[in-house]
Amino acid sequence: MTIVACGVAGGSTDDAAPIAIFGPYRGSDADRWIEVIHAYTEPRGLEVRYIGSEDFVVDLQQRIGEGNDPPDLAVVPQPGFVIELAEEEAIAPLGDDTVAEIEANYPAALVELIDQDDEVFGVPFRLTMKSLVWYRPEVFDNNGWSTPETMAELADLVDDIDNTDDIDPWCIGLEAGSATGWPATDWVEDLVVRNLGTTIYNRWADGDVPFADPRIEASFDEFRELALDGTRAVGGLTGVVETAIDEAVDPLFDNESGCALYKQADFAVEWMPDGIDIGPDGDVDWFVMPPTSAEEVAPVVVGADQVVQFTSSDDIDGLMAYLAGPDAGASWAAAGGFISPKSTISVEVYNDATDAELTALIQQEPPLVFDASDQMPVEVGSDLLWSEITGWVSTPGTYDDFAETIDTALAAADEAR
Amino acid sequence: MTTNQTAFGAITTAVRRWTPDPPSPDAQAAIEELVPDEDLGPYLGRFSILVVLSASIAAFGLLADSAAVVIGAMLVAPMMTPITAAAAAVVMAMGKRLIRALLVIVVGTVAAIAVGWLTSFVAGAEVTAVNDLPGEVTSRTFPGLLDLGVAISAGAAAGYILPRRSATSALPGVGIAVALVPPLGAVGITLEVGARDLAANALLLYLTNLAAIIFAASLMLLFSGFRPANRQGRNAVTGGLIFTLAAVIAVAVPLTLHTQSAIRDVSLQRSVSSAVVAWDDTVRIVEMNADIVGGRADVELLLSGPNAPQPAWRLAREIDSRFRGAVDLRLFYQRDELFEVSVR
Repeated sequence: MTIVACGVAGGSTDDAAPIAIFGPYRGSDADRWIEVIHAYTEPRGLEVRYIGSEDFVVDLQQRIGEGNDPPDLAVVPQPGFVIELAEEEAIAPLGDDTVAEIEANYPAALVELIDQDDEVFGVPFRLTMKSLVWYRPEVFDNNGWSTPETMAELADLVDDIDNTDDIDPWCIGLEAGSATGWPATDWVEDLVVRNLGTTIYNRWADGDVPFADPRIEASFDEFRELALDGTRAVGGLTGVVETAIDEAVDPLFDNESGCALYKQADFAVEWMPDGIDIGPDGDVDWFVMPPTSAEEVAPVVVGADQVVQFTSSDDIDGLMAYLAGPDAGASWAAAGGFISPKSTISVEVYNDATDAELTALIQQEPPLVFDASDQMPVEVGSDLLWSEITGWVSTPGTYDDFAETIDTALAAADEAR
Repeated sequence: MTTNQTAFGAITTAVRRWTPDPPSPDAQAAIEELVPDEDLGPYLGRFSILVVLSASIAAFGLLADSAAVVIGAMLVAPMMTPITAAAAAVVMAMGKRLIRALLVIVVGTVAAIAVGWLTSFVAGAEVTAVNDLPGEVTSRTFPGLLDLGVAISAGAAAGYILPRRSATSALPGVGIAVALVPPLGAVGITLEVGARDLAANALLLYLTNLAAIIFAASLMLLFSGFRPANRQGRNAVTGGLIFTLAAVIAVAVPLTLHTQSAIRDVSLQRSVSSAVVAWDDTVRIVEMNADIVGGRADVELLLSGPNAPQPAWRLAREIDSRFRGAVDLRLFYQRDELFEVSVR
């Protein structure tokens, strides 16, 4: 049986073709998103139809391919998919007005990230921060643990926790149906960018540094040693592979915590118990996965949903420039569960304390990299890599085969373009 | 008539001026016999026994999904008596009698709900969840404006029949038309399976009947010549009628919303069915849950078809183009699988 979920939002009153927007937001996210869009379109009397689909990538590929029914705009979470769409010439570079708005309203590091040989194809709209480690301050206090400042301190802390009775260092769960495995890619990405720096990380993400490279393998080894070996993670390797992503955090909140640390993006809050208090004195708090040395600023792996345009008209170009403008997204920031990449939406706008802190962190301009798997061709980065890395996690000693499979697939995808 | 009189006051004044012949002593007696003025005990005993019996019949009939048995329960039910007595007490401004009648109504209401609950608890082994509820129960959990119309007409009929002993053979028809005990049985049964929403709706159906009968029967008795003895009483009548009318309006508001939402849900379900055909005419709808929640269409579908599913977003768009509003769709899709096996 296939389960899919879709949402449609908007308000069409006549038969003139409305602006068609496609994306991954559903439910209340779709409500917040259409609210942002309506702020531009309603005063101008423009009709909009937004459709959000769980199977967004497959659906969009079908729409622009055999379906021959492309939307006018789409929200694309994978930078690799944006590049793919640009190479297929399904989308055009953004107009000058939109690019000018991006340059005026976004941190330089982010503008650099989306720059494709001096062309920009997407308006970054929603940011996801991957490099967070969640923990319970009370558990740390009771055991005399403190949050680590460097990766070496993190390794020591993990050893400490591992030697403590009745609690394992990490909660990890990879099971997510057809997307099983993605949290493991986030883990490795954070280690690669810390060990090798942003330049080599980006070359790896672009396919110029292969998985077979010993430096990349070293980060995979570090992941295994830090978080997978022996009793590092709740339930051992079987637990890691079979635990659903949205249930992985549960042991952290058990009366007797089953784990002390949980590495997951900001959106993991929605998998935590309702009404928990986040902060140093709260039920749960977070730190950014530390840098290798105390002198460095910890790099942050981010995901950015980008708005791309398939068609061009004055209305659509105007809407894109508005989305890149200083205010679009402020209403969602105020509503919560949203981080804008814009430096022009001030931290004060955010009503949710965690959103505000994460925004403040981004506005301090740490080294930023995009999620590497999101940059790879989607058939690898959002498919094969997930299943293969799950296989590697569950069967130690298979790195060479794993690397060869992925490198071959990346080369084939490159060839096909 | 003073100029600042309310429209309702104007009507009651006009009614008072149009004075029909006072009721005959026999009619007067027929009304006064409904609920005795003194020594309520024996009456209450007989009344309670009939309520318990009719409520048991109703509850068993509801659980057995038997319309005939439920109608039987309506004929045994004694609820019309105190309700029409209350209407008469309103018209004749007899406060104590009104209180007594209302007390009897409350006793009957509570007893009938309790019997429904108990019957379901003891005998409803097969009815443990909302989905198991028989049609006779669920049909009483979605009252609409039509039910209000039935209750007003039947209440008027009761008000006309009761003072006329020659016409009392028609009274069972009134009882069947407004069915007071079965909705209470449905309240008890739905409470027992933990479906509070449905219980509230069945109770709303009962309250609709109650308020509408008292109001319509009061008016009919007024037209039949029943009047309070003195002028103070006449003002009290106006107050009483205003109060019962307010009660009717109070139940009419949720009923109207109910009716509207039922109509909208049905129209959404039609939209979804036709959208499914437009999406892929080879699929069948196995199950559909479609209702409008807070202005948005909440649609859950289980479809089955011979081919791989078409993209779900297209179905959402088809629904949207018919429904014209926000849509949340959850689609479960089963591919028809055929296995052919031969053994020789």
